[in-house]
Amino acid sequence: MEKRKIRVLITKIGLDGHDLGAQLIAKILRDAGMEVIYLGKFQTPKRIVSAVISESVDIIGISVLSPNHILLIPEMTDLLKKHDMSHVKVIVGGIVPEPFASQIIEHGVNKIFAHHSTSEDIINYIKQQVTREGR
Amino acid sequence: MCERDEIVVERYKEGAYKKETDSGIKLKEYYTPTDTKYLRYEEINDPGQFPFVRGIHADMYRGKIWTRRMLVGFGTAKHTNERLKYCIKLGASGLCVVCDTPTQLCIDSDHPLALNEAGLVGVPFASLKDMEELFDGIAIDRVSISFQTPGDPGPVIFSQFIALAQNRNISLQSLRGSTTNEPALKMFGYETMNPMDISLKLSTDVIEFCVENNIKFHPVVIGGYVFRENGLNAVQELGVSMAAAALCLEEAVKRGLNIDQVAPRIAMVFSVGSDFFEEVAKFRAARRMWAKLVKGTFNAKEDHSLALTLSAHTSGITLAARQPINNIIRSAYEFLSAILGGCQAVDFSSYDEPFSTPSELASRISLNTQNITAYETGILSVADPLGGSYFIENLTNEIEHEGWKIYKKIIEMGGLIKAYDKGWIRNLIDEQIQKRQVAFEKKERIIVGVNEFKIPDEEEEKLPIHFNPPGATEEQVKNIKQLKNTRNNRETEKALERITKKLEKGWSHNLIPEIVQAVQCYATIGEIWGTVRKTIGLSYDPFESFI
Repeated sequence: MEKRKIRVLITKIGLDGHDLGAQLIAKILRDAGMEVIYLGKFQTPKRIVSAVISESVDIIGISVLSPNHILLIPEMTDLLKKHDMSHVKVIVGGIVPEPFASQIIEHGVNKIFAHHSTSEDIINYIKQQVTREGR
Repeated sequence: MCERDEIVVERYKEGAYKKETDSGIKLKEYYTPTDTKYLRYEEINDPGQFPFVRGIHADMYRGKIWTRRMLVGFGTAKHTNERLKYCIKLGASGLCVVCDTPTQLCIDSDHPLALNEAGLVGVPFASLKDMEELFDGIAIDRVSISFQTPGDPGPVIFSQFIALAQNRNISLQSLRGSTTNEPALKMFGYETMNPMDISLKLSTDVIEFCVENNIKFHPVVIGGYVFRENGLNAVQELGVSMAAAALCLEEAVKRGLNIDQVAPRIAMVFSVGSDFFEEVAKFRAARRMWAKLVKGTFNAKEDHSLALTLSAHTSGITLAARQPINNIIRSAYEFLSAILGGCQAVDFSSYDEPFSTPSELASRISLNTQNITAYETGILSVADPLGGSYFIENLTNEIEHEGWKIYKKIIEMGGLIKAYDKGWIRNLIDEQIQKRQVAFEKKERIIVGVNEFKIPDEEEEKLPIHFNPPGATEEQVKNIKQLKNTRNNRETEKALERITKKLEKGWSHNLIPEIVQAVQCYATIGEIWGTVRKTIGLSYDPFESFI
């Protein structure tokens, strides 16, 4: 039987419109054989979590630029917990300065990729995380 | 030989030269008269003469130094006001304000989606009150003010500015500066929930209002910067900018405006990438393209229509989060390209751009880079100092040639909007950002301190970065709620009804006078756009389905 592809949700959060990174990473992960659900801009924590549930994704990738992430990402991880979806990994890419980085990691984000990360870093991390979960 | 010695030996031999520019124009080892022999001097001409390749003024920076400014916008209008005053103190000769994300999307600071966002990456322009506080103690008739706001908020912010001038009894003719007010940005990362046709209509209203009232303010700034920072290369930035200009001019002409009253009011803002000579040549080529476009396609007759006012914003995308102090050097070179290219105004992506909105220190360094260049290097004494270089003139020609190819392709598709609808623009962006990333990962594109010449993490520079004033967002939300409770709501509603009535009369009727009246009654940006949306059959709240 063909192995199920890794399902990744790529999204922006809040009103920030800089989606270059999100578009690029979606393409990179698709080329790496993953199934990407691209949610796009202006997403709220609630909308993201309901997409996570309906699309049964393995991992969420959020691309951020605005400091709005320090409020919205914890709101989203809280919602994941509330819906028993804490097993879904959360990775964040983009501009996350300290102390925000440590704060969102404490709040359930698994990994942050800065903008000098390579495609390989990200692909390998996702593969490792998702297979470790014994899929 | 140990491994380290080998690296040293390799480095001794290595070459960092490129066989082509960042946008793919082939480079020779050197250039000779043969490379420019087909070029008649009339095609270059003196500075201040058609086709303005060498600059729009004969005396260039002797007549006036470029407008030195720094992008500001964070917290409440009061916070931004303090920073504007700080920039003036440091020698800024123009002001430059950027709006926050709710304003970009034309919703109020107290909209459910704005509660965590007001004042985060720009200043809110929710109502006239914000505009009043923003310029408290600043003589708006004596300084050039640039509102860097994408398409849709432009007409409302412009109206707030007009209302402020009226209330201060300032003649509208004395206002200088610009609003971006550029609907084409919606195709390049600044999407809003409003349809293109109404955005274009309102953008054209601002142009018409400026023409009719003889206001020498730039009502539209074509947003090459945004096209570029979304991934396009320098040549594509040029071609798309000319297509965006054509779209804007066509709308104005359709409105019945005289091209010679419109064209001088349109400016462009370009990004400045890291390929030094290509960027210099790009600015030179842009002026020649504009002159040809406006003369040839739009039949403009007067010199001031054909001379393109150019501003530059140094690139944000070329800056790195690793060893960020290096960004000061990157921006300085980019800035130098803009000045050797003959720009009228410059502002910076400061060295802390990869982390936050600019800190005070970063703002100071950005302005000082400009001041040092202006006052210490002697660079501004002679107009177009690179003009006549075999290489630069050849490169200017090549870039123009390639830029026209992009422009013509877009026009053949039926213009910029059709090219976007067909997905052509999206493909262009995708192709470019991927190329860029691959070149970075393969180290064909070296970024010092990032993919080469790295230092250990623990040695990385720790910058003092700018955090928003605590409680600013909450304060803004509270203020706007209070405003809605304390203003004369009957008057506000009546003013909004007048917008509806005027719009129902037909789209060729200018809405700006009614928007100014509504703004005077403290109608908010969300209410004004909501009213417009409802009148044309859309939901009042653009994010109705998102909540």
